[in-house]
Amino acid sequence: MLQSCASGFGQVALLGLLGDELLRRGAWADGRPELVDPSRVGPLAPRLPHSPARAKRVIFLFMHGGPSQVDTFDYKPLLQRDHGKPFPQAKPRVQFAETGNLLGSPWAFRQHGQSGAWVSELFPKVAQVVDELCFVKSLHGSNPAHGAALLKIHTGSENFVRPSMGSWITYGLGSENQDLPGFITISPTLGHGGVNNYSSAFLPAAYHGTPFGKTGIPSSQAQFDHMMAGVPGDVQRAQLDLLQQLNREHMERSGGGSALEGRIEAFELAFRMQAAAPWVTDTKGESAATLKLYGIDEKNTEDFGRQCLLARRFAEAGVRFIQCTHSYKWDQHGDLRKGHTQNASEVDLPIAGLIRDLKSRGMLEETLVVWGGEFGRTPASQGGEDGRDHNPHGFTWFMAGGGVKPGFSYGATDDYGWYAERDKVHVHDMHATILALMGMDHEQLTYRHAGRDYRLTDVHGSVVRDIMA
Amino acid sequence: MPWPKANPSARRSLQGALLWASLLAAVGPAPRGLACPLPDEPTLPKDADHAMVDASAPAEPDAAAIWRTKAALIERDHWAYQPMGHPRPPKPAGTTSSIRDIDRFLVHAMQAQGVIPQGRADRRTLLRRATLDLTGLPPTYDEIRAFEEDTRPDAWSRVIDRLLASPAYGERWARHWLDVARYADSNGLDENTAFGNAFRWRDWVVRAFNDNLPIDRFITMQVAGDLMPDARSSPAAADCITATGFLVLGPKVLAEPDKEKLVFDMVDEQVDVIGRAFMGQTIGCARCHDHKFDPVSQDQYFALAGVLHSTRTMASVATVARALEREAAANDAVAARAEHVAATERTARALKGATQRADARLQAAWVARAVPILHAAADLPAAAPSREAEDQATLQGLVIDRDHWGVGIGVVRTGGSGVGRVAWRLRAEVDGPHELRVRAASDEARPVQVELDGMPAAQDALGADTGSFHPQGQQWQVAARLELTAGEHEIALVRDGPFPHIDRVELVPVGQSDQRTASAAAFGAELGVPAALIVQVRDALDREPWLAEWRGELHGPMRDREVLAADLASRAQAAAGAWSTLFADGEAVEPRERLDDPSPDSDRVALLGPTGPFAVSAALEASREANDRQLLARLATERDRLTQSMPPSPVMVLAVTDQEKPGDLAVHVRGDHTVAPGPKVARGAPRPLSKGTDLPAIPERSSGRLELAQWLVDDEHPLTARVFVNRVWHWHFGRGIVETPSDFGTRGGRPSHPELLDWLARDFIRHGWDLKRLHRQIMLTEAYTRSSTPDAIASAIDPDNRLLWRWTPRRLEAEAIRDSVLAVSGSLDRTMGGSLLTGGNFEYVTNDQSANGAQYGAPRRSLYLPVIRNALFGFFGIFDYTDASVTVDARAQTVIAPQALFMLNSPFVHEESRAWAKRLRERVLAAAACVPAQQAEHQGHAMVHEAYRMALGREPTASEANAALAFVASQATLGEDAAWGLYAQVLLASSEFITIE
Repeated sequence: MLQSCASGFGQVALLGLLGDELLRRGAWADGRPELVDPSRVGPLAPRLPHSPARAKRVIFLFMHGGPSQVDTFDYKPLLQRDHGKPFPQAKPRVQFAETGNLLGSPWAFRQHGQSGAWVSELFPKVAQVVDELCFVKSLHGSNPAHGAALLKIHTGSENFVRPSMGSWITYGLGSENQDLPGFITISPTLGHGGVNNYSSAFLPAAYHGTPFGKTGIPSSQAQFDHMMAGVPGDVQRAQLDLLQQLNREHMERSGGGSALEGRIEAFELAFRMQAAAPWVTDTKGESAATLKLYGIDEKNTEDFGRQCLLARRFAEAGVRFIQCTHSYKWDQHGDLRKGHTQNASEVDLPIAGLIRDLKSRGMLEETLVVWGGEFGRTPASQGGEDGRDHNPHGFTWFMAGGGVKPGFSYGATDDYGWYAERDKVHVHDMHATILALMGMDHEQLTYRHAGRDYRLTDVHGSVVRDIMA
Repeated sequence: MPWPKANPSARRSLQGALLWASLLAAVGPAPRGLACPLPDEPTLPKDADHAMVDASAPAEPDAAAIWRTKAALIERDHWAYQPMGHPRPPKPAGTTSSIRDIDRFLVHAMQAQGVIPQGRADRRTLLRRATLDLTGLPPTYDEIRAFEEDTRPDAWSRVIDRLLASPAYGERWARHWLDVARYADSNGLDENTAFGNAFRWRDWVVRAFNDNLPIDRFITMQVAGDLMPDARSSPAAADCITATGFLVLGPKVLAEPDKEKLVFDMVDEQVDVIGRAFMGQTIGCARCHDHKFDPVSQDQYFALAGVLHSTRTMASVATVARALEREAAANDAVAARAEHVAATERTARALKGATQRADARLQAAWVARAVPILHAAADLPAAAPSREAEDQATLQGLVIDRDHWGVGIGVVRTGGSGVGRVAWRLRAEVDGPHELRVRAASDEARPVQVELDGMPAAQDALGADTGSFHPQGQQWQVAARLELTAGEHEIALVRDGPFPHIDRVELVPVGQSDQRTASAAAFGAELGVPAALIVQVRDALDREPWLAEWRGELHGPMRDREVLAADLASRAQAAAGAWSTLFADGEAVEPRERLDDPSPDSDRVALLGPTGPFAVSAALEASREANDRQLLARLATERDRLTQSMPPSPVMVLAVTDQEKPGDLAVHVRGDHTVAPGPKVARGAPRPLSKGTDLPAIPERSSGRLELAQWLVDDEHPLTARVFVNRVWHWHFGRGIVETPSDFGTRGGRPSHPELLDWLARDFIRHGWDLKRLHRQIMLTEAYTRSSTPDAIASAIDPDNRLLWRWTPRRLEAEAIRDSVLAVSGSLDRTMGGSLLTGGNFEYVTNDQSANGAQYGAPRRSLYLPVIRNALFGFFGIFDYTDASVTVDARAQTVIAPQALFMLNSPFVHEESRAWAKRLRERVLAAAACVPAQQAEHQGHAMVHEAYRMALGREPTASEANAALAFVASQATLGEDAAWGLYAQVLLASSEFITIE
C-alpha cells in the first residue's frame, strides 16, 4: 500500500529513501491518508495535525543559565520579610551546591496591566505587554546541573541523546516553507549538551535544527553554513545543469532507486534555498521604527534584538520552530544584582518588541512565544548575600499568543519560591502542552527506533488545559 | 529452571498467564505508541501495558506470573533464543557443483519465490565495489586495468586477498566497529571534556582488524582484557588493557550532583551497550521493569549491572567527573615499574638526607676554618683601591648592565656588534711598574687589547674562559704590566667582537703586590690553605661594600670573629642553595626576580663565588669528609643506576579495573536508586538468552567480567556469533540477514535466511572466529558479485531485494565520501594512527560560548578526525554520520538539501576541486611529454578522460566528454584553471562518484 501511495505523488522523489521511511514509520502514515497534504510530499511538507491547532509555529526565547523566578515574575512577600533567616522547609536531597539563608529580592515588584501581574523592575518593557502573557509559575524539572537541565528542557531526556522539541514538532507538522529549514536555532550554544539540544537524534536528518550563527559571535554576523555560493549564480546554474544531466544518466543506467532521484531534487532544493535564505535573513529593509522597536539601534539590546527580529522574519516565512538563545548569561551564583540587571536589560526591550510586532502584524495569535531558562534559582543565597544557586524544583516560564490565555497566571511555588506547589507543571507536561497547542497529541506523535516507539514526553506528560484560551 | 527468583511473594496464576498468552498470540506484538519508560526519571507509568509490570499495581502477583509465563513462551519460541542449528546447504536445481555454500542457501530461497538472479557485474564495477567496501577508497585506474586484464582463474580471489592485506582495510572496518562501540574523543552530554587517550583504543581496533585478531578474543578483550591471563605478562598485555576502553567510552553526566545516580546511569549505559553490541539485546530496558518484549527480567538486569557495578570505570565522580585511565602495560610490568619508582624515590630521599647531614658537617668545618683565615686576612696589607668597572667609564659599543647579575652588581658588557671599547682614567700613586688587574667573566675566550693613553700596551689580555657569565664566573686576572708615571692615565680595553663581562678594575704597584703576595704565602703555609685564598678574603673584606658592616669586627675580639665567620658561612650557604636550585633548571633568565630573597646573593658572590674565600663549588665533594664522600657517591651511583634503568613510562589509556570489593546489587524498583532496595541478585548474565550455556562461576573477589566474556564467546551462545556475522553481512551488503543488527529481540527484524545465518555463525566459530576468512566467504559468492541491473519481474516479487537477486547500490558513508575526494584530489595524507585533538586531556572541547577546540583541516583519513560529541564535524553530521553517543548498528541514508549545499558551496569541496583540476593538468602534461605528437586541442579531451579514470575508474562516453568540454568552454572567461576546477567539482558531486554499485 505504501509503495503505491508513494508512486501516486509525483514529487516523492525528493524524499528518496527518507520518504519511504517516513511513509513506513511516520505520524502521517497511521492509516489516515487524509492527514497527508497531497499537494506537497516531502520531509518538510506541511502535514495536518491530530486536532485543530491553536498555534502554527513556536518562537522559543531561551535564557541560558537559569534566570531567577523570585527576582523576575514570581513575587514572594514572605521572602522579602524573612530575608536573612533560614529556609523553614527541608532543602532538596540533592543540591548543586551549598546554599545559605533566604535572600530577599533586591528588586522591587509592582503589579502591571489589567491582569495585575507582578513584575519586578528588571523587566519594565515586558511589564508593559504583560496582558499578552500567560505565566506558568510552577514549572519543575529534575536535574540541578546546567547540561542535564538543558538537555531535559530541549529533548525531554537528560542522560540519553533524544530528538529536540523543535525536531519533533517539525517531524509532526512539516514546515510551511519548503525552501528553508523547518527548525532554525539562532545563535545556539555549544556548551551544556551543545548540538544535542537541537539535534534530531534518531529522527530523520531533515528535522535537525539548523543553526543560524552561534553563541559567541554577534548575531549581526550570523549565517547558515554553506549557504553562500562561492561563484556567480549563472555559473553555479551551469554546473548544476551538467551535474543533473550526469546524475540522471547515472540513475537510468544503474537502475538506482528513489535515493538517486531524491539526490537530483535535493540539488534543486539547495539552489532554491540559497536564493530564499539571504532574503529572509537580510534585515536591511526593515524600517527604522521596527529596528527601534527591537532595540537594534542600541548597543546593549542590539544582539538579542536582532535575534528576535530574525525570529519574526523566519516566522513570517513559514519556519515551524525558531529558537533564540541568550547564552550563557543568567548563572548568577554571585554578583546577582549586577548580572541579572545587565541580562534583563539586554532582553527586556527586544522581547516586548517581538510581542508588539507580532501582535501588530496579526501573527501573535498563531505564533506561540515561549520564554524561560533551564531552571530557576534558589530563594536561598549563595556566595554571600549576592547570589543564588540552581533550582529545578520550581521556576517560571511565560508564554504568549498561540492559543494560551493572555493576562493569565497558572500554578504557584511555596511561600518562598523554592518548590512548585500548586498546579505543578513538569517539563514533560510543558512539552505535552506545547505539542497540544500545535494540535498534536504527545502520546500519538511517535517514532519507531531500535525496536520501540519513542515520544518527546517518553511515558510522561499531561497537557495543561487550563492555560489554553 | 534457569530463571532467577524474581519476587518471592509472587504467586503464580496460570489462568491469567494463559489468558495473556492467548491475547498476545491474537494481537501480535504490543500495540504501537507504547514507549519504554526511561530510567532517567522514576514516575509511575500510566499506560495499561505498564500495569503488568508495575510492582505497586493491585494485580501484582498475577502480573509477575503472567510476565514469567510470557517470557518463557518467548524464550521457547523466538528464533534468536534457540540454539544455532547445523543446517546443510541445500542443492538448488540447475546449479553446478562449483556453487558456493552461501549461494546454495540464497539461490534456493530465490527459486522458491520464482526469482531469477542477475548475472555477474563487469570487472570495473566489481573492483570499485570491493575496493570501496574493504578500504573506503576508490581504486586507481591502474588497479582496475590490472584486474580487467588478469586472466588467471583466481583473479577475483587475489583482489580480495590484496585488499584484505591493505592497511586501509583496518581503517575502513575498524570504523564500522567504532559505530557499534559509540566511539568518541569527548564525553558529550552535559560537560564536554576530552577523552584525550580514546584514540589509543581506536588505533588498537584498527590493528586488531588488520592483524585479523580472532573475534572471540576481540570481544573478550573489550569486556575483560584486564582480567585475562595475558594481561599479566604477555606482549599482548598492553592491548588487553587498552581494549577495555570499550567500557569507558560512553557519555556520562559528569556534573550530576547525585553521585549514586551518576554511577547507576553509567552502569546502565554499559549494560545497554554490551547487550546491543554483542548480543543484539535491549537489556537496558529492564532497568525499571521486566522487559516488555523480551525475556529479560529486572532481576537479570541487576545481575548484569552487578558485574559492571563491581567494575571501576571512573577515576573520580566529583564534579566534573573524570573517566579512569590506566597504564597500557602488563600488570606485572606495571607493578615492577611501580616498585622501581618507589626504590628510586627511596634512594633519592636517602641521598638528600645524607647530603644534608654532610653539608652540616662541612659547614661546621668551614666555620672552623674561617676563623684563622679571617685572622690572617685581617693582618694582610690592604690592596690598592679599585673601582667598579661601570664607574666613570667611557663606553663605545658596550653597555652597563645592572639588572641581570645579582643585587648591586653592575657589569660592562657587549651592547651590539662591532668594536667595543671601555676606558677609565686611573691614577698611579707612584712611578714604576704596575699591574692592571681586572675582574671579568666569560664562558669563552674573549681576549682584549689594552691601551695606555691611546697607545696599544698589551694584546690578548683577559683571555681566560672563566666558565660562565654569571657572577660566580667572575675572576681577577692580570690584564697587563704597565710602566707608569705618577698621575692619571687613560687605560682602555678594546675588542672587535663580543666582550667579556667586566666587573672591577684596579692598578697595583708591582712592589706592593709582591709584598702582599709574600705575606699571603706565609699565612697560607701556616694555615695549610692556598695563599690566594687569604688574598681573596682580604680583598672581599676591603672592597665589597656589602661586607662593610663586618669590616670593623675584623680587628675586634676573637669571639666576635668566630660569630662573624659562622654568620658568613651560613648566609653564604643559604644563598648558594637558592642559586643552585635556580640554575638547576638551566639558564636563569632573571635570577634577581626569581630568588625569594635576593639580599644574600651578594654574600654568596663575594664569599662562595670562585673569587670568594669559601669557594668550594668546584671542589665541594673534595671538601667533604672521606666517609661522607663515599656514602654520597654510593647513593648517587645507586640513584643514577635506578634512574637510568627505569622502564619507559607506558602510555595511559581509558580502561577499567575491578573494584576492590566487588558485590552483588539489589533490585531497585523502577531502576530508581533512591527507593528502598529489594533483594540482592547474584552477579551474572541474562541466562535465558543463552540456552545451553552457563556463565562460569564468578569468584567472590572478581567483578565477573571475565566470566561474562567467556560466556559471550562460548561456542554454543545462541547470539554472539549470529550477531557478529550478521553485522559483517550488513556492512558488506548494506543490509543484514537480520535487518536490525543490534536488535535480535522480538521487536527486531526476523532473519530473511535463518538457516544461512546459522550456517555462517557455525562456520565462523568452527574456523576460529576468523574475520578475514568470513570476508572471503562472503565476497567470493555470486551474491556479492551480481550486477545491480534492475529487473521488473524480480522487483515485483521482491521489491526490497531481500533475496539478493541483484546488488543494491548504496551511497558511500560520510568518511568514504571525504576520503574519496581527498584521494582523487591527491591531498590525502595516509599517515595512520595518532590523535588530532589539540587541547589537553579531560579539558573542555566545546564551551558555552561556542568555542570548539576540534580542528578538521587535516587531510588525514576521516577515521582520524576528532569525534566530538555535541558538536560533530559539520560534514559528518550532514552525511548521516553515527551519533557517537550511543551504539549505532546502521548508518542512515538520507538525501537532504544540506548535502547538496555542502557539495556546492563548502570551502572543502572548492579547494579539493581546484587541487584535483591542477593535478589533472599535471598528469596530462606529463603524459603529453611522453607523446609529443599530442596537440593542444587534445589536451582538454585528455583531461576529461583522466578525470573519469581517476574518479570513476572508466572512460567517459562520447556525450559525457562533449558535455564536459562544452561546460569548460562555456566558463572559459573565468580562466582555464577556474573552469576546470568547476568541472572537477561537478564530478565530485556526481551520484556515480559516491555510489557503491
